[in-house]
Amino acid sequence: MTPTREVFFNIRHVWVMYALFAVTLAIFSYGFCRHWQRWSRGLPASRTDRPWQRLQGLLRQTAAHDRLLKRYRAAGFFHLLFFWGMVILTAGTTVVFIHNDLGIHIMQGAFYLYFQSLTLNIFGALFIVALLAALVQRYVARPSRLKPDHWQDGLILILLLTILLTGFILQGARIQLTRDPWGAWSPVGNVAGSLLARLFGVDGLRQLHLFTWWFHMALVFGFIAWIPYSKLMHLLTAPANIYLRDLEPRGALPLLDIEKTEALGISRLEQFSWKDLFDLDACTECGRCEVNCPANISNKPLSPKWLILDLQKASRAEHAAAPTPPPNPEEPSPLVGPVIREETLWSCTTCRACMEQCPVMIEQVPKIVQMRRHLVMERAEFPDDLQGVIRSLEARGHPYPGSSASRSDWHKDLDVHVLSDKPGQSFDVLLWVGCAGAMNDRSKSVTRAVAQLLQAAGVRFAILSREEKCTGDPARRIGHEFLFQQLAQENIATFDRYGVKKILTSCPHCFNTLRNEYPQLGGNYQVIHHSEFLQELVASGRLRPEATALGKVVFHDPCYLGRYNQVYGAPRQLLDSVPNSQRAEVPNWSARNALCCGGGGGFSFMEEKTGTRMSHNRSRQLVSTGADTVAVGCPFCMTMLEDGVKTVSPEGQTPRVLDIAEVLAQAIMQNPAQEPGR
Amino acid sequence: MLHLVVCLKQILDPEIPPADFKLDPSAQRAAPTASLVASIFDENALEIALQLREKVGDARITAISLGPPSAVDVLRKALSMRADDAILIREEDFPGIDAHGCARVLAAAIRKLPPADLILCGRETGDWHGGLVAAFLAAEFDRPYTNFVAGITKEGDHFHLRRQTEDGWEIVRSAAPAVITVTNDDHNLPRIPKVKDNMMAFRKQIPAWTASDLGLVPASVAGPNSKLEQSRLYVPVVDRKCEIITGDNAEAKARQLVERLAALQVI
Ligand code: SF4
Ligand code: SF4
Repeated sequence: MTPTREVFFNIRHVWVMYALFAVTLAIFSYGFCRHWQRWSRGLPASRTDRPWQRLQGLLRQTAAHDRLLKRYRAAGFFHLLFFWGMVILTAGTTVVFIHNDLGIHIMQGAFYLYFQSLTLNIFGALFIVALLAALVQRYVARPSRLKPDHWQDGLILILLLTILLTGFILQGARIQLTRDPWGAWSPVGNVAGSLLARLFGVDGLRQLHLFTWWFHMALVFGFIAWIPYSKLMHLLTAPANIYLRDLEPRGALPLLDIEKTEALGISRLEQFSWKDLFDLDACTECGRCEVNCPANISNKPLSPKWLILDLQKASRAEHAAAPTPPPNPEEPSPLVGPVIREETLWSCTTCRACMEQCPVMIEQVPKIVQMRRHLVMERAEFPDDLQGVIRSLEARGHPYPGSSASRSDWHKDLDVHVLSDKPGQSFDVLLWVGCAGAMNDRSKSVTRAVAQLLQAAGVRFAILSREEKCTGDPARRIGHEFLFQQLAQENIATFDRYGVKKILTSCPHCFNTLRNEYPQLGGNYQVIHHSEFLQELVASGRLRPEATALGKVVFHDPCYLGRYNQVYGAPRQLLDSVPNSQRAEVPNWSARNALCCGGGGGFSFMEEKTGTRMSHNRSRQLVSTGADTVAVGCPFCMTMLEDGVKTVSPEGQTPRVLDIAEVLAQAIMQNPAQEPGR
Repeated sequence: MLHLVVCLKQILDPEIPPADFKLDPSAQRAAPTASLVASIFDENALEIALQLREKVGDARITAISLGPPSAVDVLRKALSMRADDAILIREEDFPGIDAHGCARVLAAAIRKLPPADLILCGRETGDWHGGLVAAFLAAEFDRPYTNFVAGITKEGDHFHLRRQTEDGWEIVRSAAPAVITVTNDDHNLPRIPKVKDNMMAFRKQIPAWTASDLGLVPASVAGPNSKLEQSRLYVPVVDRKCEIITGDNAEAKARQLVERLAALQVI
């Protein structure tokens, strides 16, 4: 006899089920189409190229929960059970459909025993465990990221739990009533069945089975119909959103065609791309973005989760209220101000922690910057502190209003190759100094350290000195796309004039913009951060560090080096290359999970007016490692953290803040054969 | 309709790093190595003209600059802040011009425009800090002159000018037409233009008027006729020396210090 089971055991009038299923599908489709209509109001975006790469990423994030498990071991594990439970049980139902309704008899034999019985049983049981864990998490542990509670959250969990329990009851009853010879292959159902048989007797069990069958079916159909009208929608949108993710370089904000675009920046929902609108419906409200957000941690009026949910609410309300008139840039924005407040937009450091944490790959930063574009370019409205910065960038090509420093100050007494002085002399790499590196006193010593290391290693490098202009990173991040493009084009013209091919820089912001954003404007160069460049020099033996009094050292990852460009290893290897050094990490808060120092997105030039200081929060984490040295790789982190550690360290225990280049320069100084300047 | 004329000058960036400041070999002017900007008080003047237009509704603003070809940048900036028209007067036509000459050239240009109700200048330029042109201009037109104005309202036929004095504010009721100079305060910080206006300003044609357009003979307003002559231009050399006072204790050091200061004749 081939192992299998009867599909509609004990059930009559099966047509009622089909009729109800048709109704379910209709309700589901209506809701789904309404969402679809809403998404299609957005502008075009191409997110379906490279299907193979998209699929691979999708599998990594769903089948293996890659991101989630990196930061949230327990919650990630339980959600993985959740996910697989859902997938396997849906597959099981599909098998029944194929077997019974399509008449392709696959639900039999070994497949029936191993998959349809045993596997489904195990995953069903694990699913129950995961549901219980989720209930404990939400109602006992109560992490703040899950607040506030919505009645839907609990109801969804209870509904799923009931569906699973009734499923096991059905199975158990059937095994008992049919004296199923393969019952043992469904261990959980089997045990449930024998318990129920003892409680209800044969007749009772038959009644119970009949009632539970219809009840179970009603719950499942209800569940399906409810999907488009509830948070359950993420069952569909979350995987789709991962598939539709952005495959362009992470550090590149969308390029704006200023000449051709009617309204600059975004002030209305319809000005978002369809993918941006789709994002809003993929949010699972898990709050993970919020946990790592420096603005949220420091009580600024910004939560990346609520940003998305507020936009979602607005999008649904707008659609429910009827079609809106076409955008008119002269009219006040229905979005920026009423839905997303200006202070919210000005609280973001563009650190990308939210996007890195979001398990469904929602893209907050481009939305924030595009709304800033509207404020800056259409309304010319921005925080007072930024007025001077913009003026200075326009007139002088650097963001330090009132500064009397010259870009040539730092190299006055060093013998370096300035391109305008010797345009004909060849060079291997251009050292891009950056505004901070040339004009900020503390960063100037970092630049000098880099130059001296390059000299010690015999690297043929050149600099632009006075011909350098800001890369445009701060302008672009605060939403002044026009100014960014102007500055970038001027720099690209300078690079082309001198035939620059390879660029080295110690500023991650310059690094990111030169590497990922200049190609958008036709500037293609090989761009390297000094951590990688110096690390290579050490690895190849051209720089040989000796032991120095470094002590315990902790590295603070710059957002634009780490999260945006995934350079995590090089700076650490560099520190480890110093003999006797001892490296610490901030547990749970390092590498991709590192907390932003608060210096990005224009914040280096703005005062923090509300909440606590972002730099102090990060400094507290770094100081708590007991490190003697905090190593940084960014001039803005340097400024932020030097101030931060001074404030938060206990008296007399303030760690030094050094750039990795300074650490290395000290270690090289110990090696008489390599003393810089020789 | 009110007609407001704002005079703007392009100057060498006053925030230029001292290390980057050089004279050109003729030692007649600064070498054009650093960036050029609009003189800041002139921008304040434009800002209060814009504010006045917002208050009265019906007004036209003409920005005018006597300068080299690069001065169109200043005029473009004025257009992007939403001045209605801009006119460049070719400075090359008037070599060796002084403040009085400037006023005469500007007056000749303003006479070619529709009658001006108010002429606004910065209180002084950010390069030479002369502060003379506006007063000469008032004399040219024989109209009332008020300096250090920070804000304007229009009351009937008159202007009410909020004027900064040593110890406060003075409200001056001035007949129109009038000539004023403008000083900066918190309320007339030049606005940052919208990008749209910026791009529009780039597309506008800015006429460049020559001496003959103005019906002027250069020699009569500039060159040998100038009343002011520049005899020498140089960058002062700052000599810094550092001496460390030594001594066994604070008292000895103090005595040493006093002796040194006395020797240097500073006390
Ligand atoms: S980019 Fe950083 S600061 Fe901005 S919302 Fe995301 S986590 Fe918060
Ligand atoms: S945006 Fe992403 S991380 Fe934030 S709550 Fe939504 S799903 Fe979670």
